Amino acid sequence: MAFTEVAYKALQDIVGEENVSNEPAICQAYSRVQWLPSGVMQRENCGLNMRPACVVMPGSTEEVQNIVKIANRYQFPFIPRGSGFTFQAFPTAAGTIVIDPKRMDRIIELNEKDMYAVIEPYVSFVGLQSEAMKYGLYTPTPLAGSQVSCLANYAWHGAYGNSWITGVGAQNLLGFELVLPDGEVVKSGSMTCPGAGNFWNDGPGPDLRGFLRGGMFGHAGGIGVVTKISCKLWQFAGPEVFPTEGNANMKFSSGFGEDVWRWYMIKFPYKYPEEEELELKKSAELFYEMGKAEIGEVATHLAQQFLYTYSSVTKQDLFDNIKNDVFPSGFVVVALQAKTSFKQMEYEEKVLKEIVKKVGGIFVEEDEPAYQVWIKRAANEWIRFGNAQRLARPSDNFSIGSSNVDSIDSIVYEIIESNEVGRDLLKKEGLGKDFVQPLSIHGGWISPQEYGYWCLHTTDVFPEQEPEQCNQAIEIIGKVAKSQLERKSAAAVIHLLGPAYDIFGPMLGNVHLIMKDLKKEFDPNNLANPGYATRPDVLSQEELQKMMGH
Amino acid sequence: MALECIVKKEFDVREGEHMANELSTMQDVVSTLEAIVDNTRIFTDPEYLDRYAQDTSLCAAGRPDAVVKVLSTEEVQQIVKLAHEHHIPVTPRSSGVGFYGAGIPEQGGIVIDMSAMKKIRRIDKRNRWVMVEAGVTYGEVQAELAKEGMRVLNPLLAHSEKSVITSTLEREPKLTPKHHLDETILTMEMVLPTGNIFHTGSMAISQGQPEKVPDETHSDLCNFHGPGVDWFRLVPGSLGTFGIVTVMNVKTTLIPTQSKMVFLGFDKLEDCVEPFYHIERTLIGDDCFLLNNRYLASILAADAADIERISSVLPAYTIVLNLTAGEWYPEDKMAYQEEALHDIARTFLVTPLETLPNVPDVAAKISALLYQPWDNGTYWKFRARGASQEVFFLTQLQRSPEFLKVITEVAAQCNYPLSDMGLYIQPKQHGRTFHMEAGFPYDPEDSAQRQRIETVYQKVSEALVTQGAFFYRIYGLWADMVYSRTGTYHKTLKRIKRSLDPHSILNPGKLGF
Repeated sequence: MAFTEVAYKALQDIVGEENVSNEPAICQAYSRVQWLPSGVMQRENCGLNMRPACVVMPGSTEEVQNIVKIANRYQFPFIPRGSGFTFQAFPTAAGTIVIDPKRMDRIIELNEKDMYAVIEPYVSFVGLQSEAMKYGLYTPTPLAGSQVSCLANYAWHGAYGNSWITGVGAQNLLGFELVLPDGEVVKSGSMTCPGAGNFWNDGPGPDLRGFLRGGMFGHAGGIGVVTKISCKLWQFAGPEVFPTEGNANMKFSSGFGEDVWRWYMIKFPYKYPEEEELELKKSAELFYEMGKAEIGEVATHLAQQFLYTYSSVTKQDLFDNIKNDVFPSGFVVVALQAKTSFKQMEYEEKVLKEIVKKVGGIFVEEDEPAYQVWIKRAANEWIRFGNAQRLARPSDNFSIGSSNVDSIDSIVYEIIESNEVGRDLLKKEGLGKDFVQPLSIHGGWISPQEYGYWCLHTTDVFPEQEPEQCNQAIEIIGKVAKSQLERKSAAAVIHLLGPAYDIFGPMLGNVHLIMKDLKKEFDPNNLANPGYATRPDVLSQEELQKMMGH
Repeated sequence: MALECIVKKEFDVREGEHMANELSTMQDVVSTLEAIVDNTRIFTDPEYLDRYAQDTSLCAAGRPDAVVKVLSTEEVQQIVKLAHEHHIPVTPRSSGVGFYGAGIPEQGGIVIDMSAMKKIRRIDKRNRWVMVEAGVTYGEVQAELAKEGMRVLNPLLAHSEKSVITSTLEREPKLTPKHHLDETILTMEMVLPTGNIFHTGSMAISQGQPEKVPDETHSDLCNFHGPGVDWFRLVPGSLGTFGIVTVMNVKTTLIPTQSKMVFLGFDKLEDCVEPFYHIERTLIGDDCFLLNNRYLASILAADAADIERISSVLPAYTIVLNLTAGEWYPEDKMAYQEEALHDIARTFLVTPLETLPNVPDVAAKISALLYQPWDNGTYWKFRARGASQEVFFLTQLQRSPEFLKVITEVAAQCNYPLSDMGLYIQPKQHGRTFHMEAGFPYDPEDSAQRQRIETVYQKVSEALVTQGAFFYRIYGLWADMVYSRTGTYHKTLKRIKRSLDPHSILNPGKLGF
């Protein structure tokens, strides 16, 4: 059954006429995929089918529940939206509605003692961060930007500047409230027990967060709509208000007192990119030693592409910095925070200096251009992240070229191998030759997690927002992923979503069949963001081959 | 015993659906099992089966129809396939001891005893993990890891026969309440209810032997997420109902180069709250927990007869904090931690002590026990009276006095002698939450005491749940008590169970499905 006028009226009855719209101009705004080349191609291929049949803005869990029940009654698909960053949050077929949680934007609870917050879907990181800092707490700092939805970020993916301490989204999600595809509401963790509070995650019995998320991704709305979460907050030494000056996008500076927060930039004496492998391996040594010593608040390796794109205030500035070779290689960036005391930070600084010496690293001096551009201009943005749009600055578009999660050593190996494949593709097939960021396949972001027990990496590509370059980007991504699988990297474990289940599932213990059974159990009519986490039916060989061909 | 006794039980979560049965007698089952394992490892003698029918808990006994001692994942797999095909209940067991009834085969069937799977498959010192089979105990793994300067995160004085994998899957709280060491599971080899072997996290990239995956692929088995769902969260707490974990690699940490035990004594639990929060918030120390005088005396006493005397000279509540340092400038690290501790002590007018009055060598004793299982005869919780029933849950520390009041009031109403009661509070994730545990020692040979303890257990649990205590681990009567209050949570678990285990063969009945 398609979306009908009767269904539309039913939605009006639930949320009020003012909170539902099928105006073409409004609906068209919800069909605009940002950034990712996959989104550009989705837009190209789906055209007006990406325009939702209507947009509905519930104000409460009960209203979400009723919307989902109406969807079941009239059999139309629905997609919950967070901040609208990823292409999975957009319709691909006519008759789909979008549930926009803009009216659900309350911080319901902020618990100082037990270090958590309870929030609705439209609370952004910047909103929660600014409240948390008043209580000596802070949030992880998402690369997607402080404007994104905390809830969507934790339920979906989430990678952070301070992952050295916080881990990714999975580690920061506590309890949740979820409207299942049939309209039933389930809560998890302590919030499911009357009178227990919202402070904890696992149980009673099995931990339903395991059902909500898998690999590095959530289900993209495929098992329902998350309407509330409790999430972790972390110790923060201050100040109570983030110290900023200037315009957030252009000339901007921020700084913490040296008594609570210190930044360091560390390089290694190797030529780049020829000796990239040595530089990355030494960076890995540094992380392993820091992990064993359990020091630091931020520890990450930033490739040239990250350093340039994040630190440049305009496109011209970006090109000037590249021309001036401000970042001759990738760098390790470390921050220390005085969470116990000033003496603790001094102790950690002393240990850091010894470790850097041991692994042959060199602290970047304050008068070096790299220090001036990164530490002075951009480093605190890892904590505030008001300028995530800088990542798309080179071309208004970007995509992860390769990505993996494993040990720090495995990640270094993956970066070297993936870059080699990327360079070969550029050299032999000319893939990416017209991309605006000439260094785009060099280096990678190494993000060790939780004192280096595990590690995330990405390498990025920067095509323009037009089909030819985006197709090239997708081809690069596909070929790099194929090479990863051929050499038995564990990359596929984290890349499962949509058709990837059918493609990779058979080599991962037939996990796609398990997931399809779960989808059938919870969403037999395939209404909750159809196709996510995976379709209920197994794709045919013909369909698979068609997809692989793309 | 005829298998009819198995098949007559309805354990399928699908209402009205009964299990099929092509194997009509126990002899048929045994014959089929003999094709899988040596018949010397298949047990059907009633006396032998009785050993598996009960544990130290108050849960009702349930005798299996057969016990199979397995030595490999492949044997587990074949038995589960058989059970799946013929709808026979299977209960996995890894430890030689059980406290909560989780391994009691409530509906009979086959017990798969994995306690003989004793291999430590691999140690990765660089990435700080160890891979163990299901039967490896804390004592066994700590001895091997100590050679490398490492240790696994352990609960407070685990039983010597407690399997590391069981303890981890049961989410027993660990002594080291650090954020990054709270979830220690990395990857797992599991046998699913269908009998398929499944690898979780980055181990999924290979279907080969888990310990060989790092050599045969480019993975160090450090990604614990996925594939599909996050098994590292969905499986723990499921009491073997979603799958049987045969091999797991878990995080380890380094043995400190320096340590110093510090004690803070209090007369009232209310007075512990703020200093405890502050210790956790300032991130000092490796190991930290609170014990009341009775529990601490049960650990420190040379013999059971001495528990009462020692208990009488100890503070009512003691926070035990182990300050540690590692390889780099250990003196400096110890110094800043001690300074931070003394700042907290000054603020809250308490005195950190390096020993406790009237108990000689207490720091040395606790320090020696900290990373080891209990290895001093009768298990420490049972020393006083021969047995003990625990009630535990999670709470915010600020609510702990409120819950203690509930516990003591209800226990007193049941005429339980409160001076016998143990109390243990364990912070997790630097104080985000606290495991709170009351222990009620009793004499299991005394039927009146046993009857009283059943009442105490039931009434205290009920009162706590009503008050809002969060029973995060579900055993025995807690399943009905808790799940009846949690809306659709249990129904959602049942739907997952139905999807993974359509014939409900794995440990049926334990979680209400």
